[in-house]
Amino acid sequence: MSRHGITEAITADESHVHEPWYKYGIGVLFLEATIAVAVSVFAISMGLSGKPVAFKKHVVFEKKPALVAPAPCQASSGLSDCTTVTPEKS
Amino acid sequence: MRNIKTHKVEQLVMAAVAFFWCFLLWFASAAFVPTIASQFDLGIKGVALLASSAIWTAPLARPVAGWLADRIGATRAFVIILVVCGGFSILSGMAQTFAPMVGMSEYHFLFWTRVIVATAGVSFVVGIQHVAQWFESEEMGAAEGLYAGTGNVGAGVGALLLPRIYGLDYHAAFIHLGIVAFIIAGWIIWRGVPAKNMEKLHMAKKTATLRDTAFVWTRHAAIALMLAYAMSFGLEIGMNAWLPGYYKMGFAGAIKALGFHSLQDVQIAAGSFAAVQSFNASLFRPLSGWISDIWQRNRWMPFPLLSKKLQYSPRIHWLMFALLCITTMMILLTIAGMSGHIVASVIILAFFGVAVAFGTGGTFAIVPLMFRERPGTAAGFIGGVSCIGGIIYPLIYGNVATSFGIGGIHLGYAIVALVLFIPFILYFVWAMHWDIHPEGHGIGSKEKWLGDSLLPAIDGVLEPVGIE
Repeated sequence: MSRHGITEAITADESHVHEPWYKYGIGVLFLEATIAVAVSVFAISMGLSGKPVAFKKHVVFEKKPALVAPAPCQASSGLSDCTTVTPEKS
Repeated sequence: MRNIKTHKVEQLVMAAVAFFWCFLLWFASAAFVPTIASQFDLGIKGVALLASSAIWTAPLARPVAGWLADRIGATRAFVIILVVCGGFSILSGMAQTFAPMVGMSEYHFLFWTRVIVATAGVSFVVGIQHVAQWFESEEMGAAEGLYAGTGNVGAGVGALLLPRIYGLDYHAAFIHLGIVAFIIAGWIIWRGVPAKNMEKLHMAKKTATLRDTAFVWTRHAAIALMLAYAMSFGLEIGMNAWLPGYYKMGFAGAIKALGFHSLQDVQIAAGSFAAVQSFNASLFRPLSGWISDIWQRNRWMPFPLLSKKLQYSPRIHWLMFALLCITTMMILLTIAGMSGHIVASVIILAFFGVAVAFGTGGTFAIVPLMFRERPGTAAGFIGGVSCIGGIIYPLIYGNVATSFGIGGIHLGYAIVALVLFIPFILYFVWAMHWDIHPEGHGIGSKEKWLGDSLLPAIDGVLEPVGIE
């Protein structure tokens, strides 16, 4: 039973009339291959031009210094005990 | 089984989307390797370890996932994977907060949570089982190809888009990816149906036995296909994880000369180059299945030694062609790298990706035909154990790089091709030379593994079938 079952299935694979979705599936298959080629061309052209394309230019992560100097005193601040402080150097 | 009005194409789309997102979760770390390496001062071995860690769980977890999909249904298995991996993705994105709570350093917390997130890769087997439960053999090749090809591209999308969208902020990326995983899990709970009918559902449960698994795992043909898949898919995922770091370090001077200076720009450039391989390897995969059909239709069998009398022999010859292409491209990658010409390297990488797609698509054009009665078990073994390649290759690249000094980072490809791939091909040729039942030959007899109870399903494997 299994023998004929498999043989028939394989033969049917070649002569089968496909359902409507199948042609769209093959269309998607070629679309995906086209996207792959487009991405390759994009990456190679970017490599040649040396210009990265970034959607987010602003850098979020950055290493910050451990000590931040306070803002300089201004005469207009009205503080009588205003003194200038410089950060210690390690 | 739930009484939901659905269509097999909806189930195919659902499986492809779930697999796509799992793949994105799986390789999201790789897209940020340059940032993570800089933040935590990782050396080349540290980068190689981080790259390979993405694949550690796959070889063991994939066969388990295949078995689980058979036992509880693919939809439930998908939900479990998405919820667990999505949850840990969110945790990994909040490593700064949670690491001190569990007494770990931020990097170790990030590393181990990402290892758990990487188990999302097991979803491949689940989806293969799901598609097999819904589509008939005549359309299986295209359906599986569309599922796997579309899903695999998640890695390429990650490499290409994540650094552009999130800059260096990998924390936010990991959190957002995890949240979307939960949304997809909700969609599957709402609309997912595990099989076309009850008969298929019960058959899957029935063949998910330890004896059946042992039987498949010991077949020479299954081992040969597993090695072929290790040469293609195992290589693809190993390269997904390795390539961004490779281009950053192996072509540091060339990338700088091209005008990429800041860490973010270098990361985008390296990720884009790496995406070439991933996109081609993923998106040409369905086409490979279609080309396999063409070889089958025209009965093209150019290679000596391989069987020419099996019904599906042309498909074996197509896979052989793909394996030879992959080996050649590996050697060419080394030559391009040694020359220091980054554009040549990326162009070869594009063809390399296509060759890998030929291998992945070609392998799974054979598996359902050769192991027709137990595709889940065979897919679990072939798709799972082959992932070991994805762990080993980056480690070999890293060790070769440190052993050979300057330029050594490029040598790994040729060494892997010559030392591993050529023996794999020779074994493949030997395992596929039988004109009658290549899948019947293996370590131990059918009686040894299946006992006296030989299920009716076993006849399909061992009787002389498919011979012209």
